[in-house]
Amino acid sequence: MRFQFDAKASDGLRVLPEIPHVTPCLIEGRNGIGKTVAVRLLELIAGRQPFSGFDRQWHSLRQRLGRTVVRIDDLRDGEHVEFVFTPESWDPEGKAPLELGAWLGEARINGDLVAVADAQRLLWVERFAGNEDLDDTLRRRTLIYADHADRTSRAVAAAVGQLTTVLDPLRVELVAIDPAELAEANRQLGLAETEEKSSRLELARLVEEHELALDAIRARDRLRAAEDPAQGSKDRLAELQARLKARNDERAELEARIEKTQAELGRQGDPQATLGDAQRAVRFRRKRLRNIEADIDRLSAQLAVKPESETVAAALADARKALDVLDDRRRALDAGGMTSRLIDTVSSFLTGADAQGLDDEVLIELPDHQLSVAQTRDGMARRREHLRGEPKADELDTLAHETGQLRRRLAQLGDLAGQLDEAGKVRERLVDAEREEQQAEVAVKQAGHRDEQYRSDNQRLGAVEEEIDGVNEQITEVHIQLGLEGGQSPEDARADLVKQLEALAIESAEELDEHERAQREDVDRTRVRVQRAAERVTALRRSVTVLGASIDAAVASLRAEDRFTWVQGLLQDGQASEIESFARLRTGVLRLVEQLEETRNLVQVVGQFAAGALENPKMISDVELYKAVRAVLGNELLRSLDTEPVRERLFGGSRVESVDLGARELVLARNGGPSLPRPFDTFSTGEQAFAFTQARILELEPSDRPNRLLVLDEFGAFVAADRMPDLADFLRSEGVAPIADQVLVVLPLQIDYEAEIEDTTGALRERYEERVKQLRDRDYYTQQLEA
Amino acid sequence: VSEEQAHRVTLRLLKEVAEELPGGRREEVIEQHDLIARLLDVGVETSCQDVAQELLRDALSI
Repeated sequence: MRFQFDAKASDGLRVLPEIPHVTPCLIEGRNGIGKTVAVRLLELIAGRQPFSGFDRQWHSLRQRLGRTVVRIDDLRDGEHVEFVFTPESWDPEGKAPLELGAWLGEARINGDLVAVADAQRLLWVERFAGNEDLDDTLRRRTLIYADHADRTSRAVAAAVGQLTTVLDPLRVELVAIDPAELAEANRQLGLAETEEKSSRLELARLVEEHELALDAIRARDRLRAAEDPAQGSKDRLAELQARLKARNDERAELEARIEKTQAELGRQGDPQATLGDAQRAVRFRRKRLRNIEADIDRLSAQLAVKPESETVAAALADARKALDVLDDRRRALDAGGMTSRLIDTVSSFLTGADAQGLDDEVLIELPDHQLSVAQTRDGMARRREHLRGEPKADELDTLAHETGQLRRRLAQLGDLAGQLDEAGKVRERLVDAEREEQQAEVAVKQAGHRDEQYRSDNQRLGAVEEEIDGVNEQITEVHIQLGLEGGQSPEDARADLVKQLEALAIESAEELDEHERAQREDVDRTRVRVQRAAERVTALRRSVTVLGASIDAAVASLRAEDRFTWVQGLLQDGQASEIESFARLRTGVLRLVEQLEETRNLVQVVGQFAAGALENPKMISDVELYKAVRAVLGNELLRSLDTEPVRERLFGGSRVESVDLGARELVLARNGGPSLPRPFDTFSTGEQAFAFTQARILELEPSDRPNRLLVLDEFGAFVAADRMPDLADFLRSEGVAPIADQVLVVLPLQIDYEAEIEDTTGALRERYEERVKQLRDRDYYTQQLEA
Repeated sequence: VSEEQAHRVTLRLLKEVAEELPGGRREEVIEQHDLIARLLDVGVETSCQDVAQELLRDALSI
């Protein structure tokens, strides 16, 4: 093949004018005359991007090349190609493109304008850099992987950018509202409601206990007052007690005498004994009746109720009704709180986005009138205001106090009713006894055995017992006046107080005040706790309402807005709640956005790690990934090195076991021999670089393109080492013939041929004279490479 | 080497890198590898919105 270059380059860029149809062809010339540029242009025409990974050089070529024309003659079948580069059409930005399409230039085959790809199919060009040793080769190859990863990273970044444009409006709509917050608020609300309820129960218990303590203190104070009465009452009590003692003594005397008389009368005959028995029964029943009536009077006075069965029954019914009213009131207080919470929930819908513009619409139909949305909302607001703070702590205290009092009244009314009933029965039995007494008196008269003394004693005994009962009643009245409940005696009142103290788990009445104070403080603390719990419940309920409404609004937006049409099919209908659908979509979108970002980073980092695989950087962002990239690249390079030609020419037949990029060494092993680590730089001598180049050439797969050019560039090291004959032999060998139709060996100018020419003779002098002539004409020469 | 071939090389490299990583990380990188393969299809075989919808559908496991 003959190559002619009509350069239109600028800014110091030069291109060789011609490469002759000679093989192997030695091209030697000064630096900067465009030897390598010419080869690069041929690579481009053949469809191979030689600037991959060298973007700066690519753009430098683009800016300086101009519409350079390359003509290739002497192709197989006599064809010829003309290619005009059109760098003005090349992309001024980005990496060196790998796809070399129509933009590259204008191609003609045999004068006919053809596609660039058609020209590419005619030519195959492979360039080897002769100054590249094993270390350079491995470095270049890792850079190729890094370049590929960089390209993929850019493509991925572009795709992520496009996807982000689509996803971002959705992400913005979803990210601001977190359903997890709603779930947490609901959870907190449940806990707060439980806390509020338990606090209220605790408060009710404490109030009740405090009430007991207050009752005990009142009882204790009354008892103290009774034990230290005013002097008048004290004197009166002493007088009555003295009278009681005198009458009790008289009664004992009379009873003894009557018993004695009875015994005598008994000996005289039965009628008198019968009369005595009858008279005793009458006395006993009268006394029993008086006691009951005194009890009735006391209860009647305390309860302010007439001692009549019907009146008492009515009072009992009233008391029960009042207790029911109090129970209803307690339930009403609870209902007030619940209603308040219900209004909080419902009213949020009447103030939300769904209710906008509906104020005058009828919301509720009642039998006699209608309520609009606004009226309902305002009515709820007023009702909520009315119920705000329900139930009130003071109301609860009062309720507990009133309930306790009413229960005690109910018990006393029950006692009064029982005593009235019992009094009726005792009266009937008294009438019977009096009738029997009269009958006995008649019998005694008839028998003529009346004993005046006996009768007189009995009459006196009856009078004495009546007086004793009267005195007892008067003593009770004095006790009532002294404040003892139910007219109890101080002893009874003291016994009751002891029971109250036991109920309060207090040993002494002196501790009551302290106990009451502590209980009062407990009540106050618990009341504060209840208040705080209620406030927290209200706040959380509001949060739940607001969050729920926000999610509903976001879902409505997703379902209705045109810009979200593409995602509407992904929102579930019917199978899950709006919140579940929203949460699912939100999690999916945020996760996807995060994955895209992570993926973009991954491929970028892998590219960076590939570029630095042969270095030992001090700072590594992801050691695990870095080691993995190194291991994979090591395996890749192992596969490229462990080939028959390389083994034979570079490793003396040894197999490559492993490549360690970190240690910059490979491990060789000969069959049956031990493994031997070898640093990369032990293969850097000229001889080894030459051997490595030969091996790489022999590894090439023969191309099926009709015109194949092999270029060995930068081969000065071999000439300096006087290996040119070896190279010529190799290039003419049977191994190379199937690979290339033409071979170029490109060298920098080795010596000053003009200065050397006088020292040469014969064929060498002739070659030198030819070279000097060509060098004078165009700064380089070309010749057949001789063995 | 074309851009497409460069991407194929990168994808192969990534897959082999994933195999060198321990369990959980390996799965993660394989998932990212698969996602990259789909991203490289954006604007080539399918539209951006179609790919976004498809990826989101997968994320939601519909």
